[in-house]
Amino acid sequence: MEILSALGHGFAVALQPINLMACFFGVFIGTLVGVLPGIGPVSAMALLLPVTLSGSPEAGIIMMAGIYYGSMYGGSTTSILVNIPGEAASVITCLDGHQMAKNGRAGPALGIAAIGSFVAGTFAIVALMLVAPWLAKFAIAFGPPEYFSLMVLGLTVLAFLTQGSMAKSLLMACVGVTLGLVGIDQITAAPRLTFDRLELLDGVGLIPVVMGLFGVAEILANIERSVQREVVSARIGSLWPTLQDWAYSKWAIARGTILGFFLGILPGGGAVISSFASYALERRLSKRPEMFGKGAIEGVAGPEAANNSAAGGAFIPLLTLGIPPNVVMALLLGAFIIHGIQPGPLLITQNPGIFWGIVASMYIGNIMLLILNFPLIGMWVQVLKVPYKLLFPLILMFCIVGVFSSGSAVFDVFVMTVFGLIGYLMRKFGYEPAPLVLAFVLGPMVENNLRKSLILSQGDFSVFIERPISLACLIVAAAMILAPLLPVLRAKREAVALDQE
Amino acid sequence: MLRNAQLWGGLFWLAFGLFIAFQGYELGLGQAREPGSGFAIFWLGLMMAAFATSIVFSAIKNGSEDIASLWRDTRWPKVLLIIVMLLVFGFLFETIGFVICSLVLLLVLMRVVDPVPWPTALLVSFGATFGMWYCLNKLLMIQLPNGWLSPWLG
Amino acid sequence: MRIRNIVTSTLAAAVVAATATMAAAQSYPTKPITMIVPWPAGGSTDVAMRAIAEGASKILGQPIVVDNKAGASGTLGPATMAATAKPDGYTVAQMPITVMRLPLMQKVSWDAEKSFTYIIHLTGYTFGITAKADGQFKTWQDVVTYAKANPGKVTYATPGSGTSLHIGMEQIAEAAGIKLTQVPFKGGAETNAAVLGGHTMLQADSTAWKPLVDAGQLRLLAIWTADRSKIWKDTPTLKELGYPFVFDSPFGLAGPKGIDPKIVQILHDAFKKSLEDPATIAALERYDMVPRYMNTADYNTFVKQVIEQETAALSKIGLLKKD
Repeated sequence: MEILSALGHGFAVALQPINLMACFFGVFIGTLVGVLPGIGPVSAMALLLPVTLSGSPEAGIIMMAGIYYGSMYGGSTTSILVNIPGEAASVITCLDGHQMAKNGRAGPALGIAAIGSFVAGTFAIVALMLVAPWLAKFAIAFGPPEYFSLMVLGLTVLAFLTQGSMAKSLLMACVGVTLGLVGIDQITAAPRLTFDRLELLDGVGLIPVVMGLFGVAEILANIERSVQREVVSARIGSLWPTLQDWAYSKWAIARGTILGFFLGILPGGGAVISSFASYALERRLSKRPEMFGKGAIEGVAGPEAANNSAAGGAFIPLLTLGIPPNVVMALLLGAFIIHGIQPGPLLITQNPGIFWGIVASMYIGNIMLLILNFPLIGMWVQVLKVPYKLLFPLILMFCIVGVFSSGSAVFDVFVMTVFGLIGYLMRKFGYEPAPLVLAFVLGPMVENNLRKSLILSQGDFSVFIERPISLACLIVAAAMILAPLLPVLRAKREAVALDQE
Repeated sequence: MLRNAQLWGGLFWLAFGLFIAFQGYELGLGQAREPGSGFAIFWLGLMMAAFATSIVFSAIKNGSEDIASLWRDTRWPKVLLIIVMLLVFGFLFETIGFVICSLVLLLVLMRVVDPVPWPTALLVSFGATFGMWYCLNKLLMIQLPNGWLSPWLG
Repeated sequence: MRIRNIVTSTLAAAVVAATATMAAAQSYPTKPITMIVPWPAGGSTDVAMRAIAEGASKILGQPIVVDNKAGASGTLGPATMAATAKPDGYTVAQMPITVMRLPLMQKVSWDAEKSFTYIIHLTGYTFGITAKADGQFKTWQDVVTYAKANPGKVTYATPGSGTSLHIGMEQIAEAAGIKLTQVPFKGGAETNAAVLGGHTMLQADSTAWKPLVDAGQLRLLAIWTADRSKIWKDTPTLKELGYPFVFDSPFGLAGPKGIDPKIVQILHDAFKKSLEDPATIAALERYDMVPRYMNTADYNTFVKQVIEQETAALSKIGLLKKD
């Protein structure tokens, strides 16, 4: 009851016209930057932060938060329509989402992504409200050994489920980790694998790699095929998910939501791992695993729910401990502090108006997003009616602009081109890009936490099996790798594995 | 055997893995209680080499598609053209500027790959280039190089 | 006729272009400025720099976009800037003292005196050692006693190897006759989580621990300033504990080498005004930091002094680079 009255107070704050406006403006901008690949919530929030200073802290923070969860909604749009993931978390949406679009089912794909996002977003807020203080302990229970083992698990889940050939998937994961390590070593400051190129000191950019491997490679693969055939089916079926789609998706959304929420709480790659893990899980549990990679709607619903609920989960360490789990949350922390409010264990008691106001505004914002996004689906689907010979040059330019504006460096355009070629060759030779991207994101964290763990344990590798959380992760990871070696499980895996031919 | 596509793929990654392992070794492995900068890179290189070896063996044992068959009946010159266009775009982008580069890129792609009628091509490329330039430069404050047109675009 | 037209218009274009270039210094800044903060977002440096940048952007009339490039003890950002950014005044970085110290300890890609254009000195930190409130260490003396019985077993989280926290802890350990193990993280947000989750026994960091100390989740064992803090009156300074040290790791702002002095002046003036802004002072105070202004010339001299002092300190604890 205490919570209800506090929430009532929160709604009183959030429903003030100025805060309502701030919330709408936030989710609107969020949707926009979510759709534009390369321009993420980080740059939008950084640019708009000064604007919020003139208003009240509530309005400013409500708007900033709106940009963040709003951008998670829009992120799937380009993945589904043109196979360009705007960020790492929507890479997995490309796999089945774009296939659905090719089958003339872009509408249901976009629709289920929006519904999944809404359900997950709402669940995350409820959980945030009820169990935030308790879950904060979960976040800090993860030290370097736990992170290392969790990341290893994240990598093996993927290698096990994305492809027929395990050796190729694991190889791609290693290549991804290695790519992620390029640049200045975070521990010793030594430049690594930079080959004396100054541009590489900063590491290889995620956006150019992802857009190359997916966006550009997709275009190259389409172009080489025969002349006038349209790549994306011109007929556009129903705009909305059917009852059948819903039957496939509802449990995927539920599982993705819960998975995403817990992984989102953890600092680091929570949203990314959760979307990949959700996809792997859905394919594992599915009664029609052979449909994955060919347009299975649950392969869109699960990951999209997961990354939205991870966005909600990420608020927990920030609001309860003052520890931001990712860059976006850190920007939000900056917004709090510039407004003279210190997030931390005392926030809820010292500034109840702020805490409950934000929670209430997130309920409202999620509903606004749903209303905002549904009419847009019809508009987005029209994009696919444009003939491919006219569309592909525009997509290419879109990629170039996205890559350039994410880092303002021409070097990144070259990186994108090279990875476009690599991605094209990988398709030809039957290597999948998704494991590479996940490993690329997780790689630096794997290496860094491995080294920290060894420093902590004074070189004793047993630290990874002495700690329960770490041990549990490693056992599951080992089971994943060993499973195909056991004859009983092999039959299952072969059914599950994606047949490329 | 010499035209076995998977064999060549595997050999490429084997060489790549060994190269990375060597790079890691050069960076210094450190000791277990304080791993050096090259520690992870060295082991990653070896792991890549191991996975690549297994790919090579399975390619020898099971055989695979002919490398030339991968490009049979494809329009690979057009693929090559797109890559070259992107590289040229990258080299000229900063000196010549976004607007001219994009116009040329769009026009060439629309006219050469799968020809689009001139009026449509012109309309779409001009519209897209200037629309994009306006959105980024004016609305989002992201600076694109103006190059040769800078006196007019400011 | 036609040729002449082309020549005239080309000339005209050249003149316009030239004036545009000359006008650049006068109209600077015409676009958002990127400020690299080489620490994770949310730490005390990040927050302090955001507050200072906020004040300066009001004066410059352009937003200052903070880019958190954490790693390598706060040198990853400045090193990247020195290597890749154009000296046009649109990229600047916070300069932690490690930029001057690390080259003395190992091979690096920059030269502290030559690779940067120093602009203005800003402030310094308040450092402290914390432990989990419900843990075994109630005072610094408990740590010393435990470490004497278990050499090397006491672990402490720092924002990076070679930071003032790392060097400071090693100097303290040497003076106390104990051996501690350093675990380098990327900055305050991470070291907070490490000590709070019991992954390391201690944390040595700047005041990002404040909300957790205030909430009673972390215990502040020692503070590294010359005098006791106004906020945490019960915590002893290092001097009171019997170690003759004060560490504050002062920092300022710099850009890549070769920035036009006119632009340096504009940046210097804007940031100086921001340091005097009550809003900035209030934000700094929340982290127990005070402005420590030095102009461009003094800052350059100061850099040379720091390098001399650091060489002496490092050779004493044996961390100086061996050539």
